[in-house]
Amino acid sequence: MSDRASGVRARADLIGGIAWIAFGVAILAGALAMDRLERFGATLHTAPGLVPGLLGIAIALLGTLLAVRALRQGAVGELAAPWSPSPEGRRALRRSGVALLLSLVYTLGLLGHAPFSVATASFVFAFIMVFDVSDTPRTLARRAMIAAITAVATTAAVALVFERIFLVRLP
Amino acid sequence: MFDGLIAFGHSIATFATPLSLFYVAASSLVGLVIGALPGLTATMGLTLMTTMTLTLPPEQALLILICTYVGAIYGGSRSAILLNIPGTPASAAACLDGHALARQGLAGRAMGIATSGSVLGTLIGMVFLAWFTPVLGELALKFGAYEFFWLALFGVLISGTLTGGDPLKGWIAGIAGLFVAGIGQEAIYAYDRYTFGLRELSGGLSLVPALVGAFGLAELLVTMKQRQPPVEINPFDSVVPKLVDVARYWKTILRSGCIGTFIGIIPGVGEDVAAWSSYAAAKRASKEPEKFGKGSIDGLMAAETGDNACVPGAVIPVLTLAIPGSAPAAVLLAAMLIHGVRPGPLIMTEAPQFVYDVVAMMLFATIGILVYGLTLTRFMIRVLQVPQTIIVPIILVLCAVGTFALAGRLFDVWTMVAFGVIGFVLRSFGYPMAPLVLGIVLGDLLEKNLRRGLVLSNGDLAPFFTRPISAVMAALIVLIVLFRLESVRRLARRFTRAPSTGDAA
Repeated sequence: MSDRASGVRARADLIGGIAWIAFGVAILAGALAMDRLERFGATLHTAPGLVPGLLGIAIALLGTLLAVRALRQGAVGELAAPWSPSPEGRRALRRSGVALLLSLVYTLGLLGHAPFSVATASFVFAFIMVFDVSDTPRTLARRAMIAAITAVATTAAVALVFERIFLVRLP
Repeated sequence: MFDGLIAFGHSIATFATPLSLFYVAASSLVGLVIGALPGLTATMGLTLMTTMTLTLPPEQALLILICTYVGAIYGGSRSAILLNIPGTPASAAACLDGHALARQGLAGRAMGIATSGSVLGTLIGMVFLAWFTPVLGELALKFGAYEFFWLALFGVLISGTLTGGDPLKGWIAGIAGLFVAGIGQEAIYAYDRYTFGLRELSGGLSLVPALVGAFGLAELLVTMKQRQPPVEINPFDSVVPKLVDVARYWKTILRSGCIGTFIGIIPGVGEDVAAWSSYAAAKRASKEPEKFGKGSIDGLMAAETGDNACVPGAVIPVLTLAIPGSAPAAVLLAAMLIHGVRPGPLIMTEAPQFVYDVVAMMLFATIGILVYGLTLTRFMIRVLQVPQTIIVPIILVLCAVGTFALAGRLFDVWTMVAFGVIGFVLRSFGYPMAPLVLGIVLGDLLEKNLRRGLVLSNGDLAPFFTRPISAVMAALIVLIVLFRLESVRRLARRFTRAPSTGDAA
């Protein structure tokens, strides 16, 4: 790994370590705030907060180890450096970001709010169209035809398999 | 011995029906396709199939899942050999020699070796499954709350140590998984923990949506990061395995089968470690180690035998201890629980026939991959040529619909999405998913047994360290943690270096 890459990794680990410490402390605080249920005969060993509290401590400790290791690897020096991913890194981030956005629109926005067939067919069609543009040199009409056929076939097959064969309700 | 054979024969007869054989054929093919497609793993395949088999009887549903599991681990070798891209992490070792053989025009022979290695590896693991399960089941009866607590912790930590590049991140992921398992009402007083007033969280986070998110959605998002490279297939020869390859490398097959099965038994480690360990052992034992990585048949045979032998191996602790040997086995365990099967130390007394049913399922799965391995070469090439931009949205729809089908509530879909996003972020920063999943699966076992142990000993910690099995497991855990911590290793190095410096001076 190059010095720059290991520096970036160390910076990410430092931020990650601090986030884990905060998470562990929050879990511990939540555990300490839990009712001890002594009126029901609970002792320290059976209190609901015992195990989460121990896990919170473990996460905070491991987060500390991660942060300390990152500091030794020069993470502090990297903190001031500008955050500029490589062109490939930017492209990868954009692609997964778009995929995530489309998935969120489908699962949180469309499912349960629009008819299943409309929601699913629109999602599959949009997904193929968006990524096909950058990945293959097809013409727009051919691309749209492939996307439409896949969208309709997927919707029909999923509805058939889940509703008719497995007898479960669709969202 | 004969009782076991009779039970096994009975299990084979149970599944030798047209419907079961149809399930074997369909699910082995689904597994093969999922395993062969880069970006889709055996764990993802099993989670998806779990959601699709909820309404089936338990034995049919588990038959489908086991065939998918075996098929997916085998299927990964196809893309490893033909494209130099491991279809599943378990096939990464097969890339080295498999693709080198393909470049030499021997892709058919390489696929034949992968088929024979996978079939024989599964069969060796299957023999161990039938043989070891009663033995380990007997031993497991000696386990009490203290031992189960350590076993759960051991599983999470060893998985964190071996499945990612950075043990520290693996442990963090594993312990985060243990915490996630505790969300919702706890078992003794039904007290709501970390539910923030959300009624849906009171019952706890459902396991399958979390698994579908962490292994399904997160994997798809990672897959979409990179544009799919153009698929170029080298010309290939006959895919029929050569008997001479099997006869010549019988020692490699036996060794890798044993290594793979043993690694499968270790909680939470899995097929990729089994493949690499078998590969490394074969290289050490080989008279031609220089050929490894350049098209060694020995190396390919070792990797493929090892990862498939790991599958039955990983099922052994599922059946006897209710602790998964790998990430896909964690999904299998979850599926068993959903279908009302109760694996654990009592399985050999409560449901001994079920153990032989699982062995028979492995046998049918092996026949499935053998048949497809010999016949479906051109079909698999077609499958590998389907663009990921078409496959990914279809799988995503299946993730969402399958998750909803579990209980008919959108909250499960939101859970899946939340775990998908968390899984994607964690993966991007180098945190492995297997320990996280193992933590979610084992969290309940760990907590119940820690609290039960403390109640039994009236708060005394001594039994956790003084009972023989507990003491050994506690010592193992301490050693794993200490030897993998960089600061401790540095300290040890300083101590070992100090006397030699003194001598030199």
